[in-house]
Amino acid sequence: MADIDEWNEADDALVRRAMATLRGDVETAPMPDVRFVKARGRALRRRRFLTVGAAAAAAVIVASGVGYAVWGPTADQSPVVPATRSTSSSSSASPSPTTTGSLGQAGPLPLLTEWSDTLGLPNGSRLTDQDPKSDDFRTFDCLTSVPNGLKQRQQITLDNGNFEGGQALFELGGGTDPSTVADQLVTDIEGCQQGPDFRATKRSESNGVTTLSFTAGDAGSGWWAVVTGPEAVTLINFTVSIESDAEYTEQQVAALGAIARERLERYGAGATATTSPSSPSSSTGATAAGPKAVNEKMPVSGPDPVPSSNLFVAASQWRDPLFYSGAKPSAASADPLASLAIVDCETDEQQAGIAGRVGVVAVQAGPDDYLIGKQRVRVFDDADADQLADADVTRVGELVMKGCTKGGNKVTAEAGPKPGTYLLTTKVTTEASGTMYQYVGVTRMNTPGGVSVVTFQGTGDGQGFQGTKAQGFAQLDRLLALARQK
Amino acid sequence: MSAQSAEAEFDAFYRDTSRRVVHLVYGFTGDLTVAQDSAQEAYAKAWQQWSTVRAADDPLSWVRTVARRIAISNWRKRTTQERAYTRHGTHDTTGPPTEDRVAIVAAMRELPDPVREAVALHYIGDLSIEQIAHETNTPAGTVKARLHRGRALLAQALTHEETDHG
Repeated sequence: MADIDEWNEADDALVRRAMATLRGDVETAPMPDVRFVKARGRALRRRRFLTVGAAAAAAVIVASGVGYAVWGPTADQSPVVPATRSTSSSSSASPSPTTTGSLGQAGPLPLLTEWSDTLGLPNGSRLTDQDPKSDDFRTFDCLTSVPNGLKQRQQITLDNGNFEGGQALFELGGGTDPSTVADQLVTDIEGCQQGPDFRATKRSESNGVTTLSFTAGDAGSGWWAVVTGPEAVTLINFTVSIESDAEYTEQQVAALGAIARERLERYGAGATATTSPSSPSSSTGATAAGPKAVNEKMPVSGPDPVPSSNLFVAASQWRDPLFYSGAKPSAASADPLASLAIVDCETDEQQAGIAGRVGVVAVQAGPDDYLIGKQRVRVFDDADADQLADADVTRVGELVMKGCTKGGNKVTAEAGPKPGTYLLTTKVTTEASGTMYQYVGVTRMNTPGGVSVVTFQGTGDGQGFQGTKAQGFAQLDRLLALARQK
Repeated sequence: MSAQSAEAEFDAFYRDTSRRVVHLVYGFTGDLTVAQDSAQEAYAKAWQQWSTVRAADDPLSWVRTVARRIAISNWRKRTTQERAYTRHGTHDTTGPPTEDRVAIVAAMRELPDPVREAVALHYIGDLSIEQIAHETNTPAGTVKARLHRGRALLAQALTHEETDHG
């Protein structure tokens, strides 16, 4: 037994040096990428929900079956419980007809559906914008310098935590040769020293798309694609953890790169191609020319007499890859007791005080009838119907922009790029945590005295609408363009 | 706080603190692989409930405590884990052990658990006696005694080691 009274400052220094020796081991050991850590956290959260929240999830499914699911104003008691999802995987290795069609949807970077279809990612993947103000926005693995013109960054993740990726768009000035920038990116990646086990290899170079694979020891392996456009460059990469059984081929990555190239040519800086006006999912085409609205017989909830279902956007025309992975939508059954307050900050009391015939159609999709959105149509039939309708449009906009507190959670609002479009953000702090988003659009209709309100939801952890904010507003434009024709 | 800024905040937190946590758990367990895995799991749990953890007085203290608890559990599973690593063809991420490291780890392992914990928190975590007392829910006097004892035992063991190797 040591005599502890013999301790002195020399001993203190000795122990301190010894502990510092251990620090050397830590400094040379590879640390897992933060994206894997977060993915592991999300997987933990998902597992917890699936076990502890199984009963609540079942309740959500039942609620959505009658037309008003968890997002409804009267169901805010469990706002972030995920609905069950199919785990089946699309395994096509090249752009599918759906993917090819999705090119009509505007945007310079590949969409989630294009990532999913080309790489065969399972449902549950999420594509999120990175905040340009965040420290990480300009931080890139491997690059010796970040090219000028970094315009947009997005991150893609899977719930299982075994796949993490992202894409960045560099819009270059007219005096900068995109090929030179792309070559420098490739050189940086090939020469990357991320650790003793990191090794990157150029695999292909064709039509403005260079693919590189890499291995990083215990940190996993993955791919890069450097894509050159007319006046822009897209950088794509993803990492697969060593625990994953999934394998991604050069052909798959090249296919994703080809889509990125096509998008730069159509929608990137210096683009010369034009959007196909016939594309049904093109957000720009939809608002300019737009697909023709069709009629569909659908159940309408509300006090009798409700407006005809022909005044609503057909459920089939809600279909989009960003709503439940493009599953076929349908209208939910009518519920005579359903709330008319479909916007987060509205209440039934407010709605009860407004005149006119009014009804709501809830649109759902998937085998578990997942609620993807709602539309409310109100038709004023007084002599001053048009003035009342204009006032209703103004009322909705003002109410939304005020924000509110709902169920103890603060709801904040921002206006979209087009008149009548809004995004409500709810930071959930009671009973659960997370962020919910509600896109709200309001417009006059072709029917005299008619007003349409369209809403759909998303959450910070990827439930509901699966697109970025820009895509959300584009989606609103598309649906409002259909609503206006009614 | 938006989802994106929460992500950025967590990313910065992880980047700034994760090696310190690995170092701490490494000192506590003497096993770098267990330390890495325990730290990663602790940060994953922190992200899982980031809105709560970030609001805590000291998020790093939260992660440190969780990582130490996980490490104790993982240490018990180590033999099973090693079998799994072998089966999947992966390998320990630590390099070949130096004599110094072997001696330090061996000396640390001789310490009783509470003493080793106090030494690791003080010398690696840079925590004061009061902070250790708070984090381990132990009276400050007890922490002081454990530190004193651990320091002396370690110094004695390491001095012997240096003497034995000339």
